[in-house]
Amino acid sequence: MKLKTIIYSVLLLTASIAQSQTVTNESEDKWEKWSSKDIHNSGWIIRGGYVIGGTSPIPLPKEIRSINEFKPLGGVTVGADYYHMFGKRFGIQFGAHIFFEGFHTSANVKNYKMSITQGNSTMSGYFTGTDVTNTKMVGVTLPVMATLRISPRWNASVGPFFTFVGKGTFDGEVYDNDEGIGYLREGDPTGPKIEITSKNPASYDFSSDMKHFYWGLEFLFEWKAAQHINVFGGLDWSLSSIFPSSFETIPFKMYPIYAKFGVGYRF
Amino acid sequence: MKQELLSCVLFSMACMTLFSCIGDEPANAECDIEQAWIHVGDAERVRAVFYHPYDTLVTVSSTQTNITFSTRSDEESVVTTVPVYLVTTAGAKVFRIDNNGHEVSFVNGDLTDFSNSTSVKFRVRSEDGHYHRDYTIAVVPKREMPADPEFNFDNNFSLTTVKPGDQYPYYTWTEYGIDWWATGNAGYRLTGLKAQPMEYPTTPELNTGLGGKHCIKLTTRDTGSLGAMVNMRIAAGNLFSGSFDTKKAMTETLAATRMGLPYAHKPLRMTGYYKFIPGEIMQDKKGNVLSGEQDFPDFYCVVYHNTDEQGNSIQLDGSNVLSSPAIVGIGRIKQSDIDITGSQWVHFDLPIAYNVTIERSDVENYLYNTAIVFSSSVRGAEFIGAPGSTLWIDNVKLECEY
Repeated sequence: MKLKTIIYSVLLLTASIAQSQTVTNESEDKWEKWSSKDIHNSGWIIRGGYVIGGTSPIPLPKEIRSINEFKPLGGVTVGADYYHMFGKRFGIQFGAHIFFEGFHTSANVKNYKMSITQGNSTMSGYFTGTDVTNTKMVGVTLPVMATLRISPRWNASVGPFFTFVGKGTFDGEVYDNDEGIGYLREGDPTGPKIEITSKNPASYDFSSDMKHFYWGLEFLFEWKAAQHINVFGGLDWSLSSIFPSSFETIPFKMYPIYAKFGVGYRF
Repeated sequence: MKQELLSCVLFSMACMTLFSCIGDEPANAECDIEQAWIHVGDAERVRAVFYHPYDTLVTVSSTQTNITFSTRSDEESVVTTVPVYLVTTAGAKVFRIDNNGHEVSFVNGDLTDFSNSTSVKFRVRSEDGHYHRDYTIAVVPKREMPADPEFNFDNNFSLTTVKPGDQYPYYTWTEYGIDWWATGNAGYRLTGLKAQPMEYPTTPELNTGLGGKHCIKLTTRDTGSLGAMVNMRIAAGNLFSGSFDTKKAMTETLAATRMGLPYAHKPLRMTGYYKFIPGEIMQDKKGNVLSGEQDFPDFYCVVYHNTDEQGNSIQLDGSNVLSSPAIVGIGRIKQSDIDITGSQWVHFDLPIAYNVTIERSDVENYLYNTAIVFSSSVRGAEFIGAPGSTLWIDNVKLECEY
């Protein structure tokens, strides 16, 4: 629930800034004033900022009954992009962003298909109770985006990105919920019922199953706060799961969706 | 200006679909009978039919599909047609299966005919309609374990699965037609080590017992990485009169070993034969090596009150079977007496010392439980022991006063 609130606030902020900006006079000199000074209409932008978000099945499966807790872990992005404007409105940018992102979440689940794997031992079935997940990823994202200059000071960009994850972790544990309910039906819902409580939680670690490459769409909104300073907000929306399709332990595709906002310096 | 707004709106919409609201609660997929109750009449009638008032209610474990109400065996206790009440997992539907195999609707309180010890078949269908389980319910005179029973482990063992079609069967034993013996094998199965039947902690051993016949072998096993995860690194081989509650296997393992069954005779001594070889490396709960220490087996017979003053059932388990105030008699092997060479069968004779005088009529009315327990690691309940410790046992006898 917290995640939703955060996303909405970022969006509202972006939208309200955009609206306030639209009432200003869009005269040609404004366009000129906020244009790149380079005669080729191109240059570099260095950006740094926060990243918040998570890795989630989309839409949330009905087996997830409620999100009790959501905490971003880490969350920084630093990168450089080369941009080139073909004319007054249209351009392109591409670059490389190093990121560190992650989250911690606790959810109430019902009849959630899962496996607990440790070494060569596996126990799988349907779990009802609390599922806690932690994930962290460090890597580099390479976006290629088309840029639309929607007003003198506003740019919107969209395009595909490709991410290489250098190190990723995805682990967690399961135990009983606030009502004291925590059990696995081993195999299927008619299998042996095995209670799992917080006194002796069962943990899982799927880090080694994570893919190193994924891709998606990046959305980026930028506002020129000063001649060289940009403020940006955006979203990296992954279209591929962080687990390969051969990984059947989690029956859902898990997409990293991270919002980011920060400051850029335009050369 | 319009473009600007449009892009913002589109962006917001995209995000909203991503984090769409939590969906409706899925229908329940479970289809268990959790408790079964029959109503035979007033309190006086209950006393006439059952040994204990609580015998009218059976709590059903998740691996159990045969539900038996055990009655007294005289003519007055015969139960014919009585109302049945079932507690199922939420949303599940119950059907009775008639003689033609058809599902007949059933509601709690329906009169059900149990005459001539008929097993009545029931089917429970899950709320989501994807799963079902079949049960039988019977009301039968309590099967009696005779006085002076002998357990030679030569026959009466078979492969069992936790449910039909399970890939990892293990051995179980019955005696005199009763599920007298229980083991922790069902718990070991949860280690996910895909053990073959003879790789479980409790197995038969063929042709090596007394007289070249079969015996029982209890081995302390390593439980692998899943066991280590929950700090249960070993599973001692065990054999005990009672039942194993898989539900508790990962949380309260001691409570999972429900030790002791109602017995209508008074044991005086437990005798039998054993061989024991300790495993090489003793380890503690955290897996640390306990150098200089040595593993021992344990075996004992405990007699205890099975009903408290309020008439509630008392079921001892691994946590209190040697310490409960309900205990009236105990006979246990002394560690110093144990032969650890494992070279030949060693006879044991454990007299049961009673701390109170017990009434014969109470014993014959099943007011006492007898727990016979064997373990390949004396501290196995604390997950301390030496993997590889092996205890063979054969020709166990209970000598009874009456």
